[in-house]
Amino acid sequence: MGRKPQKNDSLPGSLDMLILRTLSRRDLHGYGIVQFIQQSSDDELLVEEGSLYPALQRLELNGWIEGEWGLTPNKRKARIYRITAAGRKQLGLETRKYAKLTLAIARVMGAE
Amino acid sequence: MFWRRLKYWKVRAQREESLREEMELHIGERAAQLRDGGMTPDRALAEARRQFGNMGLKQEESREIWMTRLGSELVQDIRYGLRAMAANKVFSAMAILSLALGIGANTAIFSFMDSLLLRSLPVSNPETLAVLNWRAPSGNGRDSVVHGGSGSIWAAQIDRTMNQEIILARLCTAFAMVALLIACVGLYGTMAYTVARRTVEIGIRMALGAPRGAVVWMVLREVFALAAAGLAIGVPVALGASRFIESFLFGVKPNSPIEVVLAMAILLSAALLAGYAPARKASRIDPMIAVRHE
Repeated sequence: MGRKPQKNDSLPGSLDMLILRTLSRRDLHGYGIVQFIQQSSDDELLVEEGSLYPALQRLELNGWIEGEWGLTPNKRKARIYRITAAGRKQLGLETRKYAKLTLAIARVMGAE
Repeated sequence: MFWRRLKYWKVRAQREESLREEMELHIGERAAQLRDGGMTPDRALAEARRQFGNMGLKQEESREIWMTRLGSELVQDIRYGLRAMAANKVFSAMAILSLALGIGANTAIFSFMDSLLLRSLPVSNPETLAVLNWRAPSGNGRDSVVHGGSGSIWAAQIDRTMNQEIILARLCTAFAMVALLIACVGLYGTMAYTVARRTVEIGIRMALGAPRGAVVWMVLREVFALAAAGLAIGVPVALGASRFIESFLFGVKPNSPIEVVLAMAILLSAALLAGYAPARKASRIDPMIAVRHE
């Protein structure tokens, strides 16, 4: 495996945002979400696979995503998740919060 | 969120099985990918499991997300109801008393109604009665019930006896209806008063982002608390009243617990209806106006 990709715990709560962002592009099952986050971050972010499921349950409880049993593109049975309207709203909220946070960190790091 | 949680509670066994299957499929998919990368099937599966982490623990975490907060929300609701009642003692006491009276009277009367109106006849062995066509010598024909076919009782006499019972039953029904009405009016009045008094508070809650449903629920849980207190007093009253009625009606026994439960359910839905109107009104409050309303 070579270099160990970083686990996503540097920013608490950002896993929710990453999942919502992933699902806002297309409906996916749990495994697909892990793969997507890993690939689109050039293998920098590796979601701890087991931890994904409590996060999905939490998002579902809040009504931000909905899961339904179906088939993946390569014909595997899986629970496919879809983002809801409330989920998109939440994604917007968290994206803004995240942008503010990173900007603030960048300011501190850039301060003389 | 409350309803989603309640729904989960109902199907939690299925949901847990579903989650377990979902996790297994995930591991299967990872293992398949590792096999494609050249691992032996056994090693691939072991590696997939290792990467996934502690499945039982993750399942436990998922379950807690749905369950523990349900419990704490319930506790919160109960405490809120008690606090609201304590803040408004006189009106709460009135509402509880009228509800208790309504529930008590209705349950007691309802439990006798069936046997009083439909089953019993004021004779000792109703099953030995026979229906006879009786033709009196005077010439006016009449259908009536005569004991044992002896023909010794006049039809008019039976009618008179029955009449008394029926009038008593009707009176009781009317009384029960009035009691129910009073209970509902009392509850409606209490809740309408509470909502009016708390207009500013509700306005602030909504201005801070409380959704309509949360405001309706806030008022309704107070109704529930009042109804529960009314029930707690009303049911013993009903049982006592049943004994009392039993003592002066000959040969009539109160009916099965199912009917008592049914009577209470009717009462509770009536109370809920009476409470829903003020709750709805509370949710229509315009925060802009409410906050300025002093």
